[in-house]
Amino acid sequence: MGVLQPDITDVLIVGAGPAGLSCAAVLSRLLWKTVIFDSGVYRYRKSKNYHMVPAYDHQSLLSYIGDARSDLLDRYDSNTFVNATAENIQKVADGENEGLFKITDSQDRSWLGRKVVLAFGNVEKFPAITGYEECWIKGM
Amino acid sequence: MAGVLAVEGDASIFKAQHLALEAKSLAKQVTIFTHGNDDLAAKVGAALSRWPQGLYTIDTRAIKQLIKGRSRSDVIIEFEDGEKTIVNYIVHRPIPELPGQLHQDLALEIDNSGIINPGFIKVSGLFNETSVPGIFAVGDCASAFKVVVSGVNMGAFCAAGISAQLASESPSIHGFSCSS
Repeated sequence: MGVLQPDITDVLIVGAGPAGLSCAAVLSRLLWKTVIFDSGVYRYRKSKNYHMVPAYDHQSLLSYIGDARSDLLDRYDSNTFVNATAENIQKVADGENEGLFKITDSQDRSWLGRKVVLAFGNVEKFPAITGYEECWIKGM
Repeated sequence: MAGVLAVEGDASIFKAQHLALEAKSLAKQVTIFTHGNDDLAAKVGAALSRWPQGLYTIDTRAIKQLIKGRSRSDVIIEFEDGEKTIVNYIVHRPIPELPGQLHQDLALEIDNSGIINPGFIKVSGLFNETSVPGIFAVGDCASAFKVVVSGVNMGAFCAAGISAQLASESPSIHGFSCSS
C-alpha cells in the first residue's frame, strides 16, 4: 500500500482547482491542517480566456488557481501540496489508525487523514466524431 | 452562422432546443445538426417553428468529421456524402464524467436524477457530505453546474462543516497555550 507518511492530517483534499483551494482557504483560517493532492491535470488548461469569475474576467483559470495557491502557501504553513494523483482510498478498518481515511497516491505513498474532500472535477467525454477534440474550445 | 451539434449528450429535444435558443443571440442564422437523427430533427424543427423564417435550419446529414477552419473559431463540417459546410462556431457540450476511481473505492452514491449533467457524486446538506460520513465532495464532481463560483462556494461551506465535525471529535492539537 505504499510508503506510509507518518503524520495524520486533519483534511485530505483531492484536487487543487477552485473548489479544493477554496476549501483549503477556509480550513486555513480555522487552523486545520490539509494535504492537497494536485494531479496537474486541469480540463480548462487550453482555455486562454475564461469568464464569469469576478476579478479574473478574460483570463486563464490557471492564473486564478495559481493566485489562490500562492495565498495558501504565503500566509499559512498548514497546507501541504502533493504533486501526485490520489489513486485509491480506503477507511482503515482496524489497528491504531482505525476510522481514519488512507489515500494512496501515484508515487506509491499513502497518507492518513481524519476527513476527506473530493474536489477532483470532471473529465470530458468527447463524442465519437473525428476531429471533434481538435475543435474543442478553439471552435466551440 | 452558428452550428448546434445535437449529438450524444445534447441529442435531446430539451437540450438541442435550449442550445438553439441561446445561440440566436450570437448569430443571425443557426443550424441544428442532428447527425442522422431524423426523429430528433422533426421534433426540434417543430419546437423552433415559431421563430422567424431563416433563423433556424435543421440539417440531418451524418457527419464524417470536423476540421478546424483557418479563420477565428470557424469549423468545417464534412458530411458522409462528401459535401462540406463552414460554421463560425459549434455549440455543443461534451459529457462530463468522474475521473479516477476514488468514488468507486468508497462506493459513493451517484446522483443520476436530473437531466442536466447527471452522474455526479451525491452530496447533501449545506456542507456537501457524501453518502459516506467524513467524506465530502465539492465542485464539478459533485454538482450539475460546472461553474467556478459554485465550486468556490461549495468548498467554503464544506470547510465550515468539516471544521465543526473535527472540533467535536479532536482535542486541541495546535499547541496554543491558554493560561487557564
